[in-house]
Amino acid sequence: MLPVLNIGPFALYTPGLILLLGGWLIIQAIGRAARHQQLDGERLEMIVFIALLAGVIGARLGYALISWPSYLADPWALLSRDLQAFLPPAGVATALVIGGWLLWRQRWPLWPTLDALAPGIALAVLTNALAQLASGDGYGLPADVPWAINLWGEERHPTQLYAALTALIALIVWRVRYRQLQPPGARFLTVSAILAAGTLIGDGFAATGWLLPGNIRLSQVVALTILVIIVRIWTEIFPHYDDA
Amino acid sequence: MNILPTPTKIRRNWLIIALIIAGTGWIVLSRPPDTQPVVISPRPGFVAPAIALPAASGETLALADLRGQVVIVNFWASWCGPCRAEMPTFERLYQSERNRGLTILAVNNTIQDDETAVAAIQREFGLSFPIVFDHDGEISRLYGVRMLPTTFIVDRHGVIRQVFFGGPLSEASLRSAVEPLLGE
Repeated sequence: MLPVLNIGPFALYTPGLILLLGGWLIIQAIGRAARHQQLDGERLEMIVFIALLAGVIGARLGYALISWPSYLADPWALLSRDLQAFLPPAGVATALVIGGWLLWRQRWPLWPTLDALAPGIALAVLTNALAQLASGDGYGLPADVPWAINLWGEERHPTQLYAALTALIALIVWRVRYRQLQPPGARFLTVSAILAAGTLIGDGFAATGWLLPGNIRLSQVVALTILVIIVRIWTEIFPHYDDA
Repeated sequence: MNILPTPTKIRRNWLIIALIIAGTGWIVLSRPPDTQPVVISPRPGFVAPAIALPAASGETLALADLRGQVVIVNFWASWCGPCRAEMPTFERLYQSERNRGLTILAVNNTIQDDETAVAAIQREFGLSFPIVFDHDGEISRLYGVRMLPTTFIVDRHGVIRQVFFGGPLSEASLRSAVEPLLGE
């Protein structure tokens, strides 16, 4: 856990640096994957860049909505350098809506485009996990397993590392099968299934996150739903690959 | 052509049923406990470490004495530009919200500062909220302060709800952080 990195007289907010580097890697990976899919890589890179930028703006606006009269009285505060004045879920929702709208409006083919986005999704999960490890957010429940990490004087599940490991596995599987002939959508669904399975299992050891009534963890319910949908649609969208 | 093996519909349906049973079982089994032990730590979701430091008057002020109020704990020093820049913001917020149960505890990093400079700033900006002196830096270490200013938002139960690294903070950002807590 290293929320602030001191380099000489400078103090840098580490999670912010990780998110910045992760954003750049995501754009590069998606551009390359798009070119491999015979898509316009540069245009897709631009769309992802706009979506990420929209995500940052959405996260700030979401935070401002909590106390909108204050921001209405001082609109310049929307541009303040307060690095923690962001609401991440609002940012993710904005990025998805803006990115999805741009792709739909420019009539990008659904499955090949999702295939090109697949490494970016895995990298986004990896980036988020490492940023949370640096900030100390997203920590796990107390544990006595040999791989537990000591956080604030207590041994805990390294849930941020579980998420990072899941994302790495998804990236490795995606890379190993990179040049294999696969039906459109298979890369995206494979990466999504690995990430969903990892979230379903790993978040069972998490101490943070939204809970539903009965202490049911929302992220696990979403992950299980995604897994079921993927298994359900796999044979529907690839029926001709059953023909021997 | 068979590029990727796909399950037949029957196998798929069984797979879905097995997945739902196993997944639901794991979700239920792995539910976090209703009550988790109270852990003191300088981060959101944990009880704020104790603070008991002397003010300029010589009187000792303790964070525990402010239980029941929303407290903004601000670590600062007089030589730190962003710290000085956000002091008027804290004063305005304190004046407008103190009646609703907001207080500000400004912890001066006195190990790198001096009380004369603090008094000068207090006069310059007309600061009326409590300022305490961390002479040996022990409280700053306890809170893991690695940059100035660092600001902790503590709720009425003594639990840290948000941490701001750096500054100067805008009044709007601070209000967004404290407004929901004042209503609790």
